[in-house]
Amino acid sequence: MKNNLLTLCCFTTLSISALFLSCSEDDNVRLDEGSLINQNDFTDDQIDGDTSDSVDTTANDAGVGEAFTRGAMLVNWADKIIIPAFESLVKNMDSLSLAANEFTDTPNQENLINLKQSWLNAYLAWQTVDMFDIGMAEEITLRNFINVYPLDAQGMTTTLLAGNYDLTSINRQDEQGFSALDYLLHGLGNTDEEIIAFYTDETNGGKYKTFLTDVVDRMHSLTSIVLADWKESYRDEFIERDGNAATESVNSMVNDYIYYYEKFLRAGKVGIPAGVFSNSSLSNRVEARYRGGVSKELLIKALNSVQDFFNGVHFSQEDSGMSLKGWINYLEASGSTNNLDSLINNQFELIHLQLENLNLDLAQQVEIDNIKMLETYDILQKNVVFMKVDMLQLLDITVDYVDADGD
Amino acid sequence: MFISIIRFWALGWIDKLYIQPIFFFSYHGFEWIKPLGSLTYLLFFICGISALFVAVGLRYKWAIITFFLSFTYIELMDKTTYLNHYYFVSVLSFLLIFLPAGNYFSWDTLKKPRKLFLQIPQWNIDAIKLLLCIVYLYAGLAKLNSEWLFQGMPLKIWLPTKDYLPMIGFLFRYDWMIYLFAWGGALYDLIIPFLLLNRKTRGFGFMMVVFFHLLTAILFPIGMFPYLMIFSALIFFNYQFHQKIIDRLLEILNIKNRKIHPIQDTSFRHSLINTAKIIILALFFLIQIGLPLRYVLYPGNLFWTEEGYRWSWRVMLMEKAGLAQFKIVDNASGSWFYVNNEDFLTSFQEKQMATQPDFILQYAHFLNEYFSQQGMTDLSIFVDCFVALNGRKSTRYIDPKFDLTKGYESFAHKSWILPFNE
Repeated sequence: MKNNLLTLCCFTTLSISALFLSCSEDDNVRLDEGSLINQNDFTDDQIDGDTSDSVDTTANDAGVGEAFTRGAMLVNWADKIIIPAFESLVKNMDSLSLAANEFTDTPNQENLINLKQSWLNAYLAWQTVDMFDIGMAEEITLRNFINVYPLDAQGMTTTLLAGNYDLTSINRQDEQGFSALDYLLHGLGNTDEEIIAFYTDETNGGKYKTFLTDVVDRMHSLTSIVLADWKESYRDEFIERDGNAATESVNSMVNDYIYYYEKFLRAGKVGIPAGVFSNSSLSNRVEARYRGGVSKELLIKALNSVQDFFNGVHFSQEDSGMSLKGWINYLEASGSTNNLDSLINNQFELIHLQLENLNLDLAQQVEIDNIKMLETYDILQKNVVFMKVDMLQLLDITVDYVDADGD
Repeated sequence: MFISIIRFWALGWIDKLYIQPIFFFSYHGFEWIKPLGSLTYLLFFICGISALFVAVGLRYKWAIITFFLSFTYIELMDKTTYLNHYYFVSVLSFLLIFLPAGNYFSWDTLKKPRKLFLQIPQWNIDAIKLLLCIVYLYAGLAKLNSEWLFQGMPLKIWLPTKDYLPMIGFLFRYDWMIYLFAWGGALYDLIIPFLLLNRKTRGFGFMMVVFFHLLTAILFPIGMFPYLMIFSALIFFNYQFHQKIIDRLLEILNIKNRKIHPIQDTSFRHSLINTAKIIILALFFLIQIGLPLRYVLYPGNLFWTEEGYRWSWRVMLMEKAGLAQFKIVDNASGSWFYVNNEDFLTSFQEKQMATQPDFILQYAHFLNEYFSQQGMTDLSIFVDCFVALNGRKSTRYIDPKFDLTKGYESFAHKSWILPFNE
C-alpha cells in the first residue's frame, strides 16, 4: 500500500513535470519534422563542402534511376516550363513597351493597332505564367499588379488626371495592369479616332500618355524582376527543396497550381461572370471586357497552360518531362487502379469540348445563353474535385495555409 | 502542458483557430460553448498557469480542476480541431481530479506536511493504468480492419512520401515495409498493455513504448502526443523506480532532501466522499469502455459516415479528403448561387467540414441563418460534396437533392449520407 501512494504521486509530478521538459524537446522534433530536409538544404546551400547525411541520401536517391523523383520534376518545371514562360512574357513586354513608346510619340491609328496587338500578345503570354505564384512573383504579389479585373475605370481616370500617383500602392491595384491598358486602348471611345483623340487632347493628352507609359513600364519591370530572380537565384533554391513537407517546393507549387485553377481560372474567368456566386450574372466581370471577343481565347490559353503543366509538356511544346502525371503514374503503379491522370486529362478534354460551344466573347455568352456558361463552370469544377481531393490525397499533400497537429 | 500552451500561443494558433474564424463548429449538446473573443487569450493563460501549478504540486486540487475545466472548454470551442490527444489530456486530467496525486512530491507537502500521505489505495494507480490500457486496446482493436491490415491503408498514402527522411526514408518505397508498419502498429497497441502490466516484460515494454512513439513523432505531425504517452507509461513501474527518479531530480535541482517524516501515516478512511468518488470513477470508466463501442449502433461504414468515430481512440486510421460546394436556392424567386466557403471558413475548417456530415449540416444551418438575415427568408440549401477515402476514387458523399435546412443534428443516423460503395 505504501508503495502505491509513492508511485502515484511520483507518476503525476513526474509525468507532468517531465512533460514540461519533453514539450520543449517536442517543439524541436516537430520543427525537425517539418523542416529537417529544409534545414539541411539550407546549410548545404550555404556551405557547399559540408554535406550532411540527409542531403546525401536525397541526392543519391535521385540518381538511383527511379522512374520518378521529385527533384527531376522540379528541374523540368523550372527549366522547361516556368523560366521559358517568363522569358516569353518578358519578350512580349519588351514589344509592348516599344509599341507603347511609338504610340505615345506618334499617336496615330497604325501605332494604336500595333499597340493593341502587342497588348493581346502579352496578355496571352501572361496566361502561361499566372499559375506560378511562387518565389519572387509571390513576394511582390505580381498578379495583383498585373491582372486585377474588373478595372476601377472611374478611379483610374481620376488618378490619371490628378497625376502624382503611386502605382505601388495597394489601393491602385485595380487601376493598372492589363485591364487598365484594355480600357486605355479600347474603352475610351467607340472608334480608333475617338480613342486617339484622348492622347492628342491639348489639355489632358499628356496625362494619358504618361499614365499609359507608366502602366506599361511597371508591368515590364515587375515581370523582368521575377524572371531575373528565377534565373539568378530562385531556380536553384526551388529545385533543391525537393522534399514533400509543407514548406518544400513541390508542396507549395502544387498548392499554388490548384489554387490558381480553382480561384482564377474556374471562378475568375467563368464562375463570377456567370454569376454562380451571386444572385444574378455579371457579364461585365469578364477578362478584357473593353476589347471584347478575346475572353474565350484568354481562357483557352490559360486552360492549355494548366493542362500542359499537369502533363509536364515543355513551354516549347516540343517535348515533355516529369510532372504531376508522371508522379501519379509512379504512385499508382503500386496498387491503385483509379487512373487518376486519365480522369483528369479526360476532364480537360471535356472542358475543351464545352468551350467549343461558347461565344468568342464570354460576356456575350453570359447575356445570350448563360446556361452554357453554368455548364462550363460545373465541368471545370469536376477537375477541382479530381485535383484537390483525389490528387492531393494520392500525393499526400495537404492544402496549405494551416499547420495544425493531426492525430 | 504549460509549454504546450506556450507553443500553441507562440505559433499563433490561438488567433488562427479561435479568433479569426467567424463561425465555429460546436459539439452537439455543447452549443453554448463559444470562443470568447480576445478573452480566449485569458483562458489559455489560465490553462497554462494551472498546468504549471499542477506540475509543481501547488494547490493541487484547485489547479487540476481549473486545468481540466479550462482545457476542456478550449477543446469544446470548435470541433474542427478535435484530436484524440486533446481528448486524452481532458480525460486524464478529469481522472486526476479524483486522485491524491499532489500529496507526496509537491509544493503543497513542503508547505503543509500534514497533507503528506504515504499510502493510497491501490485503485488510485490502477485507475490510471486502466485508462491507458483502454486507450491502447481500443486503438489496437480499431486497427483490426481489412483496410489497415490487408490494403495497408492509409499508411500506403502517408509513408511513401516520407522517402526523403534521412536513414530510413528509402525503406518506405517498399510495400512490405508498409505492411510491417501496419501489422506492427496494430500488434503493438494490442500487446503493450500486457507487456507493461507484467513485471518481467515491463522493461522491454517500455523500450517498445519509447521506440514506437518516437518513430511516430518523426513520421507524423502529431505534436506532443508521443511524449505524453511515453511519460504516462511510467505509471506502470513500481515505486522504487519512481523514488529513484525523484531523488535524482532533487539532486539536480539541488534541493536538500529533507527526510520526509509523514505526520499522518494513516491510510485513507472510507468516508462518504471516498465512496462518492469511487462511484463517479466507476461511471467514468463505464462510459470510457462503452463510448468507443457505440459505432455498432449505426448502419453503414464507420469511416464513411463517421457516426461514432470521435471519442473512440481511432488514431491515424484513415485518409479522407473532400470538397463541398453549397448551393443556396431562394425559393421565393427561384434563383440560386454557390457559396464561396472561403468567405466564412478558414481553410482548415473547410477541409474538416467537407468530410464530416455533422459539420456539413451545421454549416448549412449557419448559412441559412446568415442569408436569412440578408433578407432571403425562404431558402433551400443543397450540397454537392465529393469525398475520397483511403485512396479510393472520390465519390459523391451527400444526397445532392436533400435540403439541408430540413435536417437536424441528433445522435440518430443521418439518412442523407449516401451509402458507401466498395
